[in-house]
Amino acid sequence: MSNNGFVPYDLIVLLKGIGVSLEVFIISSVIGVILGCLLGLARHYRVTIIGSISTFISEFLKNSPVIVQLFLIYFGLPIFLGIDMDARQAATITLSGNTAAFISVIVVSALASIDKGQIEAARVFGLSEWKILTKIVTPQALLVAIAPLVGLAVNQLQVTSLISVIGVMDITKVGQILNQRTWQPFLVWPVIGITYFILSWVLSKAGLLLENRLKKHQSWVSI
Amino acid sequence: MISINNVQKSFGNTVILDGVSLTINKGDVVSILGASGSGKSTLIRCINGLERLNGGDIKVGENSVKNKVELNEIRKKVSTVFQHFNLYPHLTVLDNITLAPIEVLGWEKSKAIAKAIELLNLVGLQDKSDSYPSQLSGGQKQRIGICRALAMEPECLLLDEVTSALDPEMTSEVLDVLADLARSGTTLIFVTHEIAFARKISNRIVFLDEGKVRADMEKEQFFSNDGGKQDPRIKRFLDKMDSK
Repeated sequence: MSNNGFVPYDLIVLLKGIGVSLEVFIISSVIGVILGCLLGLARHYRVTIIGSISTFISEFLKNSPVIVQLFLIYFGLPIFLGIDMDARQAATITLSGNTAAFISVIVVSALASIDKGQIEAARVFGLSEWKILTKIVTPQALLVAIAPLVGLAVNQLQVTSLISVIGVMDITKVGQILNQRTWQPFLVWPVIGITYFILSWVLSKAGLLLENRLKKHQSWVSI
Repeated sequence: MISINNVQKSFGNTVILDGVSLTINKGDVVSILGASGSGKSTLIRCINGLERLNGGDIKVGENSVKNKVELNEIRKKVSTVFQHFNLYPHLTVLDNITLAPIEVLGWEKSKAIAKAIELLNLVGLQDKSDSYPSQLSGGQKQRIGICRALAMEPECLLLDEVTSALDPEMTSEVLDVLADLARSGTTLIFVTHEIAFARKISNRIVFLDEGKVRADMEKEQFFSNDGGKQDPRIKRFLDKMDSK
């Protein structure tokens, strides 16, 4: 019997691929958000040398191809730092850094969009910089940042498809394997494409929901 | 109570304050007059620590603006009202007013709210406590700005051209509130272009010109022909303002 046809197990392989893609995406997003906020804050407050380093790192990560970063991490770290890791870890590290770079830019511009006058007012009334950040700036900056953040998330989800190149068994890699076995590219790739589409669609809907909830919580916006 | 001693301030090569010295006593109502660019607003911003001095010193009581810890003490005693209101747009009127008393002075929420409501009554905006700044007119915003400043129970209030962004009707709303404050004995330092109003409520006039104190005298003396008006610079300024 030929093993060229599709078998029910292929569906399980695809589901596993979705799991891997989502895992890398979610972990790298969480790390990216934390790191990106720190980078953005360092840049915004011009924290001496850290601010400049942060600018350099985010500019480098933003302006070089993800696939190059992926190769540098996957092949470079084991050689230069002797760190032993599998492809999935390398992918997660790379995407975390890449996401952080883009998030830091969104954070910086959201912080800069807040009117200076109110910050001066808060300062004059004796509020600490931390209180100003948490009570005055962040609630307003979050609203500015939420739409670009959701856009970035949808984009980064697509970017995860690149990690298949270093052998991570994500959705795209599963597609490659199925395609090679069945020789049915016009069946395999549409399915893979639709899979990404559905995930992205759900993600952007969830983002919209979050945005609306945030706006509802801050009723001043709609006035 | 506030002693300003030989203050120097410049931005780049532009000298804004060139050796300003003033003493402001408790209960004084001082108007700072002068042409645009004479350094009036910068002087206010030096007193509340928004600008760093290039020379000299400003002391409020025993505390100097040059020391960070002391500046925090000053900020508990000296409140500012801004030309462009600078209210927090994402907070209700009530939260705008109670934020600093709660966070900086450590008041109980209930105490801060009671104080805020008392102040809102004072300025006639008791029904606006749950509104957001964007729902208010300019005059109302500025009255809230005054409430926010007074909620700190300050020893001194700095008012930086607080009516410049308002139309005449709204200006009178705000000036009425300030006149009441002046009568109540609060120390007021206000930078203004409202000469008639300055003449009505202040007891002292300071005239700044090119970063220097050109005149610092009792109100009656400043506006009399054998007093401030003897100075051709001041006479020219007042005549120009009168003809407006």
